[in-house]
Amino acid sequence: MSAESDEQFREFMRGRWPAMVRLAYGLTGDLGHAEDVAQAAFARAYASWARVARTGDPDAYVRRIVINENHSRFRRRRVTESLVDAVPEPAGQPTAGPADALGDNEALLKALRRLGPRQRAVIVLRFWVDMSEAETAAALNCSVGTVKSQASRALAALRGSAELMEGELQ
Amino acid sequence: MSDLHENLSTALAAVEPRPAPVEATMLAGRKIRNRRRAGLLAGAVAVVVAAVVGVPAFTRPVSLQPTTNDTRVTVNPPGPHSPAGLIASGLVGATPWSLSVTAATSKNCAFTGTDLGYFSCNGVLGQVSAADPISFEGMSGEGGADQAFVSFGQVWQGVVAARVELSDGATLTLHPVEVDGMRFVAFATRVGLPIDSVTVYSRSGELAVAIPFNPPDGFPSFEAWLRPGQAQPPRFSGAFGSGVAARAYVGPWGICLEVDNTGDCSPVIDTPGTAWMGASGSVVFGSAAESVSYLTITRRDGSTLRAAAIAVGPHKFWAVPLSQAEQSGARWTAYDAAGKAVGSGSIPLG
Repeated sequence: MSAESDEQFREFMRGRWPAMVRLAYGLTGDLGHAEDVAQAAFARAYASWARVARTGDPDAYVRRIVINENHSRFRRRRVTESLVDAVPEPAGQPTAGPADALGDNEALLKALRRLGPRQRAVIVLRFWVDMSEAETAAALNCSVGTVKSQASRALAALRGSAELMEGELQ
Repeated sequence: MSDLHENLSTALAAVEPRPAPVEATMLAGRKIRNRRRAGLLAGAVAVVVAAVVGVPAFTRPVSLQPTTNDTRVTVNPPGPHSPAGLIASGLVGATPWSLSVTAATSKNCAFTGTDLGYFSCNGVLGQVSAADPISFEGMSGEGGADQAFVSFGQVWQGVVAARVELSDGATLTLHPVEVDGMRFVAFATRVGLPIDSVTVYSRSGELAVAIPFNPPDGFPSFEAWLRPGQAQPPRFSGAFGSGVAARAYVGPWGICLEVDNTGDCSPVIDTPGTAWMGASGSVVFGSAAESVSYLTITRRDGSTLRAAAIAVGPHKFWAVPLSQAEQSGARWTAYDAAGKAVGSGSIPLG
């Protein structure tokens, strides 16, 4: 890989790193894992950088891998985790530092973490990444109806979450 | 909904990641590239070694009779009226499963199925070869006593069939299904049921065998393929963390490390000088050369941690707890049994 190509990747990663970590954080609910997921996604992009750069949309490529890597991590992490209705606090979630710095925002993030992975993905992609219902359906490879129903259930769960103040999601 | 967007934006914007670990990421990316190349080389070398030392043939006769002795798991190929993109379907106990691929040739390509999520193909397809004939991925359903774990992947063009042997004695036969010019297989197992092996066949006979790593109560991980006649590498496992939970599983699947409750597998290991392997938010870990007895990790403030280099089979590993903040600017030094420094370097950010 040429020095020019390497420099192009460095610039791309420095620029897009925060956004990808935040996306992964929205999907995983754990900053440490989010950074792992984002880094793995960028590493895979770099491994095929010539091809990725040629697509003209490396951002979409890395975002897609972030979603995939999240699946992969989820799969492995489930070695020691099981799905329950009320998702426990992820192990390793800091109790001081970054979490405290989130302040009131932590309530929303905590409620988000309590959603199932698919509902969480719908909420993050639909309402934070600002994908349309059709785009979200394409990204999650499900029907628009499924996006609507998952979003509806997720929003209901968020509204009913004890962590959130009344009216926050109106 | 604009409020939700705003709230999410505010909440997520408050998440401050550490600086982008650009150089460490590029190093990891190069390893991914090298691993693809090394897989080809390792296969060729292993065949030569097996031939030289006269390892008994691993080859089995080609026998692809459909299995009838297991009523718990069924794998059915698509029929003439199946939906487009269906790779396989069946039952795990009473629970139906299916696996389809959509938009296989586009960037929106994805695997999905009954009660499964989605798995984007982007970055996954196009990596199969004679040395790596099926690129297995996997995902699980979300409920039920017969919860299914579905393994699926693209298949190299020379493969005509695959045989899956499950630990309960059942055997599943898979035939590649072509979708949009690419070939795929899929099968399901009960969660927690180990897979003993997957053998793939070309028209001329056995092509390769994969013996996956089956973590306790976890999902199988396919990493390495053995050639016909290649001896199975012996299996070892052992703890190697100094102050942190870390365990290595070495065997025919390659090397799988479980550090801080997160698993990571690789088909081959770099022959280490003293090779760093990885870091997470709270742990750094690595492999070490045979001569290394221990390492010291020196934080930026000058304080140190000691990590024993512990042998697990033919490899040595080490792991110590080190927070993300402490990883920045930290360095490692490796020592032999006599206390002589034999290598040093910086800790790449995890």
